[in-house]
Amino acid sequence: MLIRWNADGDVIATSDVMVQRDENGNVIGFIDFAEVEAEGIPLIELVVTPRAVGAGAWPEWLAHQAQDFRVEVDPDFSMHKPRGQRPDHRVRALVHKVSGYRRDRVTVENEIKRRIKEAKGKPADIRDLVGGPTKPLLLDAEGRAIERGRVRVRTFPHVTRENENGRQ
Amino acid sequence: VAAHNNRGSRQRHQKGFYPQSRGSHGARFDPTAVDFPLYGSQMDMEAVQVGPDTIGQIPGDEYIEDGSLGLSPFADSVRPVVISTGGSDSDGELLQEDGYELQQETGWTILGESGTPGDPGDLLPTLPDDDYPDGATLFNLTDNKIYRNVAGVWTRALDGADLIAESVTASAISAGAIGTVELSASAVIALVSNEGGTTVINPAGLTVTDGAITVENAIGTVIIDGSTLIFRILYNGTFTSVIPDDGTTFNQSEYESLPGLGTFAATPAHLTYLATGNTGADNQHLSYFHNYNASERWLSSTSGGATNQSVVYVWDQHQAFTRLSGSTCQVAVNSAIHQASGSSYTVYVRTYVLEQSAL
Repeated sequence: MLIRWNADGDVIATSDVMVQRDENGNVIGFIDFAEVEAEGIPLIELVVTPRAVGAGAWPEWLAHQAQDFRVEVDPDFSMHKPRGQRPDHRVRALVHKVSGYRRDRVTVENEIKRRIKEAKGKPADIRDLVGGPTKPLLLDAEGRAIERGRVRVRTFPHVTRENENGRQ
Repeated sequence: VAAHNNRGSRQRHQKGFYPQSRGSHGARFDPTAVDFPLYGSQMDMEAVQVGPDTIGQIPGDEYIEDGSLGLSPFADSVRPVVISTGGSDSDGELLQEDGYELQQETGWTILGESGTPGDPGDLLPTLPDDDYPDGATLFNLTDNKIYRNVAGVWTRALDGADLIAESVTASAISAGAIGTVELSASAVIALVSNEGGTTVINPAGLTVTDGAITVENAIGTVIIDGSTLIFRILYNGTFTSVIPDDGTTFNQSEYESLPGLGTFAATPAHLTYLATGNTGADNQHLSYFHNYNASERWLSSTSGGATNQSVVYVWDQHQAFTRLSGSTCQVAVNSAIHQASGSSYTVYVRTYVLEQSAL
């Protein structure tokens, strides 16, 4: 996710996805915000928010809920330093503006690494950890992630190709 | 190779298949031609002096005791060969060995390289042949293949069922030799590429250049027809529009520019929701909403005149839209408010920038 913040450090805008197009206008893929930041390209040039003074990538998808936080940026981060000589990330924490609860980047990334290691080469499921562009994390009033909870539904008979063909 | 031809001792002439000369052991023993002392009607072998002059003169089948010869008389590279016979009436006799052709009367035959090399079929006996009934087997040195008489036709075909299960490796199959006929209709194929039909399935996705993808749902309704255009999401994000309570701001325009999407020749479509709260449970208004006072307000139809008509009092109204700044897409929200609320006013915007596209 791409976030922008104002002079007070308050998150004022987010971007879940942005496609990249070729010179003919054809979509060729999604822009990797984290990689753009790592390459030293100012993210604030991708989406210009007039009130924003900074932009950075964040590993979680929070959608509009991110605007309940302010950013804590790494003071050593500088776009002018070459890659490898500056911190990997610009935003190192999101702090809830009301409760003060911190969402530390290192905590999220360490958990991602742990799950990848546990997966032993298989795809690691981190959806509950970082959400997704179409399903952001659900946060409580203090900014803590909460389970979405199971949806209670009744199961009705439904049409499938199997039972249309006489198979159940 | 199984031997099962009952051809007996009959001699035959054929190209690449030589007549046999039975009993070609060499000259027979003639007692009168040698100067051996004979004792009555029986030769005492212990008294026979064997030397260079007797080489080839002693018939083994008469003067050597059956079963008395071991391996020791043979050089290390020479060993007697036992021919297994297949026919019930065959004696398993080795008929000829001439360096090119080896033939046993039992019907197990090796066809040699003598004659004119060429089509292996030229070396095979013409069928039907009583000497090579159905099931007769030959080994042809010309092509090093085994031939069988199957219903009057020489064949070197093999029964695939006789192959060891899962023993055929990829290197044993010619590249490109397997076609769609050999595949199961339900086969799952990785990295499919049908360049002729310009259909490519690879880890990066599915590409259909000249065809159309058709998808039916469970009840047979075509939900993707390969022709209908759809909206594709180019950008998805959120931002806020904050209207200060400064007593002077009655309208405001907040926007975001999206240079990351490149340039546009025409203003793209959008789907933008506006909300007055920042929780998932807040009402989402589609691009436009206004708050109005449920009570009426009264106006005068003339300046300075008495109020004579009522109107609905609108507190604020907001509208979201896309526009182009030069050729860069912008998502904007215009707001018009009254200044009696006593606090700032925030509109939460969630927007999708869309592009009409073929599926």
